[in-house]
Amino acid sequence: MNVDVIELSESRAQFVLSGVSSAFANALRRSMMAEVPSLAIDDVNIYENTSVLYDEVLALRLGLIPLRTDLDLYVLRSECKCEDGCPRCQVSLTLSVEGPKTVYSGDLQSSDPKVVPTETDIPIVKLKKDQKLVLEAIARLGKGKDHAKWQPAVACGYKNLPKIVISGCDRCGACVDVCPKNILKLNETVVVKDEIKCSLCHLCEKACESGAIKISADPASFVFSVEADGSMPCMEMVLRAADEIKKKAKALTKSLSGVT
Amino acid sequence: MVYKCTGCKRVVEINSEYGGVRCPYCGHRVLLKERGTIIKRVKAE
Repeated sequence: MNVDVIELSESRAQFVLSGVSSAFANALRRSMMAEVPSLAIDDVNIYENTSVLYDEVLALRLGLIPLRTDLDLYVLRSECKCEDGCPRCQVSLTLSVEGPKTVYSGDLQSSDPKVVPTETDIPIVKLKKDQKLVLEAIARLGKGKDHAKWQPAVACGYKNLPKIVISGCDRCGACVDVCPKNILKLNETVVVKDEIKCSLCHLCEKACESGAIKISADPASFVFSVEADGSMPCMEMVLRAADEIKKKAKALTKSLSGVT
Repeated sequence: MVYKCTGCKRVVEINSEYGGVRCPYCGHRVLLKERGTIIKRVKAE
């Protein structure tokens, strides 16, 4: 297995994973989406709400606010020894505002300074004069397979690594004109500017009357594009997803070892 | 059950013997149910 990083930032990553099967690539994608835990508001205690939104709608909006997550500090509620919630498995955020004002995610006051909304300008509700909102939100760790609010990867996908082979080009330029990604350039012959951007649409192949251009996909190499919600760095999310696969494989090995 | 009249803003009680809903002070027919004092716990989902 080989990994070539093309782009890496806090919220976005693009890398080529080669030497693996499509089943493994899909397992990694699914693990990022559904198995990596992250913090999200789970329960909301509403003391006062005279805003135009119903309590349930307000709670739903709060639940979808991404929170910065340090997975070394918190454990899943199912793995915690406590019964009613403790500082190890939950964190409290309070909100107390009075209109006229637009309430943003940045108005939430967290009991743990490390657990704060990733963006401070997510609108929650608009309050008019004399409208008031007082609540306590309880955030817990959870997994994307239970609810999308616990999904740290907001966009995660892959495609096979494209391979473009050009031989015997007659410089007609038809393939350059039809390419929707603009990755072909006509010099002395047609050259490929950025092979990875190819969407494997085969339009250039169809446009080339001489059959000089051949598009194929490497079945064992995958171009991954990952976008995180900001709850954790993209790199950490990918590594934790791989760890989750490893844990599951170990659990499977353990359970199969008992079978005679 | 205690309601609040949207016309005179007074707290009123609905008389179950009287068929309609009407404020006994101003006669306004739009009454709002007041929010209870208990803390409401809602699931964020």
